[in-house]
Amino acid sequence: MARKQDVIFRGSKDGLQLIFNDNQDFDILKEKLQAHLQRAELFFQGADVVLDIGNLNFSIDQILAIQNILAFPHGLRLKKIIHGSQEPSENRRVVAETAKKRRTLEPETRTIDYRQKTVENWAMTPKGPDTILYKGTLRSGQRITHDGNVVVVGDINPGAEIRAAGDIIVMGALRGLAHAGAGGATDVVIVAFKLEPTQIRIGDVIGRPPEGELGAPREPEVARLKDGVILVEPLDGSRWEGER
Amino acid sequence: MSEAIVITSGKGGVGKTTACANLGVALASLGHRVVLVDADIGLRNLDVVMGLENRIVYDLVDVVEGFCRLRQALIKDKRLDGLFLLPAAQTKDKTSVTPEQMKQLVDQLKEEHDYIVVDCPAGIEQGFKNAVAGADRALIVTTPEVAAVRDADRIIGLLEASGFENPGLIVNRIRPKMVAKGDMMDIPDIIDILAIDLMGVVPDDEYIVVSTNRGEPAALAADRSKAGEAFMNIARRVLGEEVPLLDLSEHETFWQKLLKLIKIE
Repeated sequence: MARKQDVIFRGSKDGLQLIFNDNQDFDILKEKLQAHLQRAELFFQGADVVLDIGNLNFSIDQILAIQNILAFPHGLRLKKIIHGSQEPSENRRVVAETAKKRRTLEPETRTIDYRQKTVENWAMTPKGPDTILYKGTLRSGQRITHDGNVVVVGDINPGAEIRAAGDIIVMGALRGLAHAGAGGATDVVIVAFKLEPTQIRIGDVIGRPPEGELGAPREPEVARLKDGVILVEPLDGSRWEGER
Repeated sequence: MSEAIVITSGKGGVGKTTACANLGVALASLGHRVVLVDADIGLRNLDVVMGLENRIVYDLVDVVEGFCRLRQALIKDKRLDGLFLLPAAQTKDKTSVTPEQMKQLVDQLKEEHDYIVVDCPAGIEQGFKNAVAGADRALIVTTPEVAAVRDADRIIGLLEASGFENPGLIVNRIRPKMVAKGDMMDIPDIIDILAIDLMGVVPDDEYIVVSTNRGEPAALAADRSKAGEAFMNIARRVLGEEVPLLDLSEHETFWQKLLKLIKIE
């Protein structure tokens, strides 16, 4: 993943999650982290940090160095170190196959700026429960807004809306509008057993199905953002390879 | 000089939204700049009938509440230049907007467009008051049923009380065969009761069901259906042209034509 960010902060249940790019040099990571914290300054102050080092093997000295950067002068506490999910690399072959099934959604060309609408009500990091579960059908005119992830066991009908700061998972048919990453996050996904939305939005990007009859999707699909375009592909696990 | 036209009926299900979409399409295809405004907040349909549902980003309430600029909320039609839709909000209700705000909105739309066609919700409450607030002219849709005509009469009374002069009437879903048999109210019966100008008669047409479900208003292909042609004629009359009423009689068979010929001779 050439375009992968080297340092990513993400809100999680345990506090801030800090994710490092596996392929990057430690010194560059250190620099990037410092710059990142400088920019965020007061925003992160006093938070607990879970460090996800993925496939990297850090020495004790390196971890201490990171701890130091976090603690001074930003007041962050390194609470826990985890090795994020590691995928077996043999999935690579499958990726090539599923790539054929991919389809992109048409971008909506009008200029938009959600943040002017959403930021007032949305914290940039999730607070309260991380994920909420909704059981039942969301009907036209009903909406769920949450500053974390949303899981729906049921259908989202046309005219219904889900807006989440995090991911959206619909265990049923998504026929209405779903907006994941409503606080600005772009590394979020929308998953549905039947993904036939009126419109989906991820971060600031809007996608709508192409004109004309598509036929109902036959398998669960996942929508996510890639190079500024919403990409829809079958959810068969293989695409998570190499992702974090 | 631009004009705002509200399409209303009192009774639900008589074809306001269909009339609105088709009138908009017809006016735009005659070269005018048209905005369709869905005032049915909470039960929006016009976007579906226009086939523009998946393009909605902002809606009328967003504009009124200042979340976006008016131009951002306007959806450009995918087929016709000069045709725009301002969709209603679906997750709000009629009280999110006041008649004053609607008037302001319509006035603002008039600056850049020739015709503002407002789709009014059923009923005579807040939604109705909002929809008629900015309008210069009203078109009443009714079907040839006693209940629909009764409600249309009530609406005409309310419109006259709030200063509307001479609203026009659209009789929708007429079935010439039933009228011929005397099983359905005839146009003169309806005019007799309502006493307003007839703007057009639209036949009951299966094509309308197909076209509304597909999001392609019948007036887009006016030569394909009688109803589409009827809406096209209504648009011409709105523009001030004199257009004769459509001949709604069913096509005659060869034998009927022959008999007629013989009789004449």
